[in-house]
Amino acid sequence: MIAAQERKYLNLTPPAAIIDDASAAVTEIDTLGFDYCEILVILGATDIAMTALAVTESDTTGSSHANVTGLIYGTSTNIAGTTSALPSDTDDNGIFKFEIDLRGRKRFLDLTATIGDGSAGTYIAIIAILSRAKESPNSATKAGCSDILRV
Amino acid sequence: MVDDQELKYLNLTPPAAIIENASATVTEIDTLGWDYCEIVVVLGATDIAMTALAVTESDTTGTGHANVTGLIYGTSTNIAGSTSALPSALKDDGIYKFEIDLRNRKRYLDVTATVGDSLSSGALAGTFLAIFAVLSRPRRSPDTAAKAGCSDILRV
Repeated sequence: MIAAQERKYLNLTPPAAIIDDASAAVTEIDTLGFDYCEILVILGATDIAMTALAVTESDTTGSSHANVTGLIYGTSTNIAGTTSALPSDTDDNGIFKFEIDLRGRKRFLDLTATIGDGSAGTYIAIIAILSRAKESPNSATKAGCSDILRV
Repeated sequence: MVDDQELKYLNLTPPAAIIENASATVTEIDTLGWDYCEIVVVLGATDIAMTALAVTESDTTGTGHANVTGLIYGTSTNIAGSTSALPSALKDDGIYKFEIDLRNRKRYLDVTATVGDSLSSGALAGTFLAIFAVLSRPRRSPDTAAKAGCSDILRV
């Protein structure tokens, strides 16, 4: 088994125009059928720090989301064992990652991603990668992709 | 071992302003130390088809790149066994993926990603896109966020 061929990708916040002094629009994740989730917050050029970057969860789609302890940039401890920091105005092209064992989590995950008030703002895209599937995706569509080429 | 904690991410084409009638700027991938690579092309809003989307390879950094047979959207066969198509003007928010066994490949990979010439004008003329790579099956697993290609990682 090649794990890379068993993942599902979700385009939560597609690349778009620069965001300033506002939250990114993020599609909620339904984790049903998967045991692990990575969320990648991919930055482009930025001139302002983020004011919030956190994962939320709920048992109900679209409502009642609350922050997940341990997944709040700025207060949670990172994998190095130190307190994490929110992305700053010098984190151009940085990738901020969440790694989530879904076995202890609620079904629906979402993100709060808020950009501060800068001169121009921040380019941002957010992707989720679901893995450890109960039933592996066997088509591009089931893997969340428009198409896949493989060699 | 959790496979997903053994990966390295590369921000090849960070999200940026919309591209029209031009190729994206893509950072070359050095695959040394890894046996598998996924390249993920993430689209945002678009009103024009892409005219090229392919992976190239070379033994030398920055030069001598040539297309990899099987990794050319528009002519290569996809995992369903049919001829792939280049991303069209209707593929808003689509994800196009390359899956590459590196054991048979040259050390350096790159991506050619060219957006066509939109007939529209204004803020949504062209294509928003971002490209990243995921390296896996390492000879030595990354044990820090930096070695995993990330600014920071939170884990629960």
